Amino acid sequence: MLPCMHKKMFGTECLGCGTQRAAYMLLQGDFAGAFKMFPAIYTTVLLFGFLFLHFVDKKRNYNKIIVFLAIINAIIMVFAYIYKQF
Amino acid sequence: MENYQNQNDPNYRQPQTNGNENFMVTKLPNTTIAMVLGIVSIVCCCTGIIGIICSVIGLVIINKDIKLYNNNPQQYTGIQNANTARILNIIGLVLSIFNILYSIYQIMTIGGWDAYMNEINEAIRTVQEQQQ
Repeated sequence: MLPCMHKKMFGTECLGCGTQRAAYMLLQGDFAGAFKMFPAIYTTVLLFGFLFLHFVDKKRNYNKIIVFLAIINAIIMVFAYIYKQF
Repeated sequence: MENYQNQNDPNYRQPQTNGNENFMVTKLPNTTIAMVLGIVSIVCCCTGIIGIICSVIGLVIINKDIKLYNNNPQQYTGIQNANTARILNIIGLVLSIFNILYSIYQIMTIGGWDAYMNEINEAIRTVQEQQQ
């Protein structure tokens, strides 16, 4: 797994820390654990799924879904990070 | 004679023929690259610097594309994709800036850049001592 530079330099977690562990937990089937590790994991997975569809399926228009998911994803990441810190 | 009178009339306008109808309608050139850069900047926001570099490059590219589209909208398609890419880049930029501000805050709480470097050197030294 890729190490986090922020965590190595400061010793505290960054915004995206836990994404890989959460994805690993999802692959193992531990859904609640993945949500506790990184709450934005489900919107991230959906976002990447729709991005893949966007590049593969040219007939349909996925722009609105992608923008909506990206904004939701960013909001969840920031608030979960603040909640984790304090 | 009728034609001459028409041209003197202030309300008379020549029909606009800029020839755009005959051109091939093409896609905006750099939308896909900008979208990939935006995704990379969202994923790599935890390193801060990489995210900022990617999203700024993506924003510059996509703004060029949107300017191209605004100059003649009939020749290009895919403005929706361009807007999506721009929003992705902006989100990546915001996340990266948030993270870098937090890093700066942490350096300040440790006590400035020198104290931070001292701490890193000590950490490296302890790791090396453990290995020996």
